[in-house]
Amino acid sequence: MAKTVIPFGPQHPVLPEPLQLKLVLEDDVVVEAIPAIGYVHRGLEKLTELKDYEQSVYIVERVCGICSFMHSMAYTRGIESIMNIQIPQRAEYIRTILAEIARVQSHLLWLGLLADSFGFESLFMETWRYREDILDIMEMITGNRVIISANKVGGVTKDFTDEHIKFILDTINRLEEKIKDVENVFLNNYTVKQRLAGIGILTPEDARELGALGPIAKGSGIPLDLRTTGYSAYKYLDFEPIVDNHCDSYGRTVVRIKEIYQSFQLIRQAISKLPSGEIFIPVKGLPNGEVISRLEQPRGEAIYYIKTNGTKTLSRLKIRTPTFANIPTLLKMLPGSRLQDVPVIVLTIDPCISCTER
Amino acid sequence: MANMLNIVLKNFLKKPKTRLYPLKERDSFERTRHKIHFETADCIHCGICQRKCPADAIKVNRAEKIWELNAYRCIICGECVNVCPKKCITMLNKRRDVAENKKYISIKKVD
Repeated sequence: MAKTVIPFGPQHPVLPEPLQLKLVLEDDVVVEAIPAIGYVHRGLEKLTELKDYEQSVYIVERVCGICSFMHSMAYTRGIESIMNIQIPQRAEYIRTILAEIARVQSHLLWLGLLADSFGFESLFMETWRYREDILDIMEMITGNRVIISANKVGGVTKDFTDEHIKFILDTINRLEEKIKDVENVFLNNYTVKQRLAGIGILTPEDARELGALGPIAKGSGIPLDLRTTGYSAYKYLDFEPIVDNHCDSYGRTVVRIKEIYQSFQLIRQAISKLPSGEIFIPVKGLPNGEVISRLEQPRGEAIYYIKTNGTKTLSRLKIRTPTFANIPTLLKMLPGSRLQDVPVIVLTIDPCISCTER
Repeated sequence: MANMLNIVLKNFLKKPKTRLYPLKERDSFERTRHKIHFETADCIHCGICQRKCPADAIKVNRAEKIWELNAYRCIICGECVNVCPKKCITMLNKRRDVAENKKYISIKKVD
């Protein structure tokens, strides 16, 4: 049969970000997908070689518009380990709580986008309305909704008051009830299930071989979660990585919904153990050395390679974001699927292209 | 079906989720970062805010006692507010007005 090539993106209604996939089709079945990235390269890695290492916190925050807090967390943790700084324990806990709040908002955003990708507008709006409550927490504590600028080399800039803690607990208790309604639609509704179950299959062997990360690996039955290594305050918290054995789009949805509940649990645990004391220690001297800093973002593991030479600026910063590592798994999932399922499959890896291209 | 009717009836009786924006504005939180405010009276024009600003949005001219802010470059991170030794720069939680032009906001100290 004759083959047709359809360019999917860089401008496409379902993807706000410029990822291009050249889809080779036979009838309406995808035979091959060829990716092309490079439409939103901004040169942020190079910019850190021109700015002060403390100013670069604000640059790496702008790598991603969704998991921005975790980018700055990976960077500051890297610089702190080069300079041998032990930050106060309260700061570690505050970072952990803010990271989990950021994870919840990212997963809610993704659930909304997924609903939008199969044309369920009201579910999309409902999910994003819940996300607004999470963003209110961020705004109340740090003063901004997404790019919160709460990290600093040596600790955090914003402290929690009793009023904030009460607000966080009230909000997550209220949201937990509401998200159960949405969960019911995502996991049990007949129409939604038809669009997710059996679509975009990735076997555990393929996931392992192609280096799948985050919810994609967990949705294929691999318990891969960097938080279990116990960085920051995770070593004091009790949790197990969430795994699902469906190995398809449905499995990845299950993982992300369960991770929202897990994050709520982690926030509650961290708040109950929150120590008192300082949130910041002054930093003296300049960093000299190199380090690899890793942490678990909503989409998977991010790797920061930081090299400094004892001057104010960095000599090299290299960021490997989870989406970049997940693109090969996407190319494995697409062949054999039908054209109408392509948007859903692309969304299940939660692509963040501006992250990938920095 | 009964469940759906229930939801529809509930939604009829509920308050609307949105607000009538120009008439009713959203309240900001105490820490919300909206606008940089500068008081020239105590300023010593030391230039620390200029050096610390990650976006190069602030210009300080010590000789002529001028403090300038480019609102289009400013990312409202609050670094200048934290480092100012005389606490001349403050963060307001009121919304920023619409700019008339893209020039620097220039404030000159008059003795």
